[in-house]
Amino acid sequence: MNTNTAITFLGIRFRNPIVLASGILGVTAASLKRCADLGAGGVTMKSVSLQPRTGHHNPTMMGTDHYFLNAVGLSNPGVHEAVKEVYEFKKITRNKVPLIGSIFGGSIEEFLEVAHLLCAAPIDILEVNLSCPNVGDEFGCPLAYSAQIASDITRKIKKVTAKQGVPMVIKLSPNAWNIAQIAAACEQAGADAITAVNTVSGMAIDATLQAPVLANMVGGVSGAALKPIALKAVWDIFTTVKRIPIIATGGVLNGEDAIEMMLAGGTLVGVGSAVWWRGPEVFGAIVSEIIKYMKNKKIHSLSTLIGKAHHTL
Amino acid sequence: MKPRIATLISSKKEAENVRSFTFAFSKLHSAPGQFVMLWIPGIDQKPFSIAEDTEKTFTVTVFKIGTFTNKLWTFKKGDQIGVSGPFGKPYQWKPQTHIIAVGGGYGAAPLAYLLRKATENKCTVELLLGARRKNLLLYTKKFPKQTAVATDDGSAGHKGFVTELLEQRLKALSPAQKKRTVVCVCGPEPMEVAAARMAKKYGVPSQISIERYIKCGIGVCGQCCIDDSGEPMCQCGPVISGKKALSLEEFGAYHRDASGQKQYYKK
Repeated sequence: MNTNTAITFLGIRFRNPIVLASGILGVTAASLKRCADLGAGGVTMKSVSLQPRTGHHNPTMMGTDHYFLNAVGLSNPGVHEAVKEVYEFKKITRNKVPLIGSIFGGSIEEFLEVAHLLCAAPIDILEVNLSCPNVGDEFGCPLAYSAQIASDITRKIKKVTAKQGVPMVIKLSPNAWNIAQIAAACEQAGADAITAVNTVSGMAIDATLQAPVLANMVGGVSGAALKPIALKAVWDIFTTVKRIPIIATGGVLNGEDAIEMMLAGGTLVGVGSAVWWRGPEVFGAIVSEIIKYMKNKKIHSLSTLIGKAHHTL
Repeated sequence: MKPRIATLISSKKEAENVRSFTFAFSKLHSAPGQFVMLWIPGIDQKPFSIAEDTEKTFTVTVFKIGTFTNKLWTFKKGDQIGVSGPFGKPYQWKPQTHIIAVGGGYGAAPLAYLLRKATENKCTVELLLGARRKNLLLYTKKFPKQTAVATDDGSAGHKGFVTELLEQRLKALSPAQKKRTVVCVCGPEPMEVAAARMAKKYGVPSQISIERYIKCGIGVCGQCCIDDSGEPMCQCGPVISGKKALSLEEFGAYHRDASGQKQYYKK
């Protein structure tokens, strides 16, 4: 039986729906290529700002059996270095792997400038990170907590990306109680797609030392613990946002998790901290598990699953 | 995993601005060439190569260079530190072979542990140590009969590069000896490049410990990925074969800093 894992997302063909999520193994072109070589259908770069940042002190990451926790603090080499990595990535992958660039900024002006600079490089999609939970003191509340602010910034960045012909995805936070309404507002403001979700706020305390583990004290939770939260966010967004697709991200560790995300409404599925549990081979492993599921269920085309759970009962 | 807590039991000076710190810690289960992440709450968490592991204690040999190591220098017996690891790929050797360990400056940190373990595997060993001057050399008294030193200023041993000592040794090996010899290197990257090339020239395999900016230490953040393989050195390294190292476009050319910007080595 033929199984077709290919997905078309915003007019771009992905050979499978599994994309490396932003913030994991996404600093260099060679590292991004390695994730694609190991099976990812597309890859997302680590978010970049105008100027280089070194991020928070360590510890910045911690994994347990049930969750992964991080507060890296948006370290990045700055957009000018990132642009060089984009060109390098396209060269070494012979333009065969879709690349999602990711940006953040401390002000609307910075967002617009970084968007402009990164869209001038050959990225396929621009992801706008409105939702990093780990730099609150610097940048105020994540922009993705307010429908008004999120849609306002979406509208302004869209003017830049539309001019440069790059589709724009808005990445939202599960910390917002009304993520589905915020997604709808972003759609109204011109977002071409939604990535849901970023990490959910959390922390860890060491009982022996009686102190927080992360240098930043608090951070973002991903991994298994995030999955039901992400699944519900995707489910809700799928009901409020009808015309634009979703990159469903959060706690996807295996093929079944990925299928569930698609059934809830995801067109692509982001995979990030699963790398900690299963290594970078996780991308190919998840794709194999999806193919096995498709064969068992006699599914020819994966795209038939998108949002299907909404109509089953 | 959350770090486990270790307690300092002793420390001693090894060279100028280099000290060894030994912590009580059961069953680290490390191999020479691997590293631990050490955490001082409120300060930072940094990677250190393991300088000895007795399964009841472990030791790190540390160069004083920044905030973390300044704090470590104030540590007294009984002070506690968080430990994660061991991480990364160790040096590899076969029993009953000959190991030439080549260390540059405080880069020699993992080599005494390597040679102790290799000796237990019935290997013959020698240690070639290089530094800019005498008081920057480590471990000169650990294996006195098997050690040769080189200094830039001639204040101890051979005046010149440690790789010149390596060439003398490699030249003297018979074809049969070359087959059972491995060169294990740790030091500044330009010296590592020279040592890897030298070993290659004489047909002897080498293993190189690659230092990159390690942030998470667990293969997730991507900060220590090396060009052009894209592999994180915290997991696929720090020790890789000389053959592989010489095939990497980044080796000896540049590395990335804490932000990810490229920093080029001086030619």
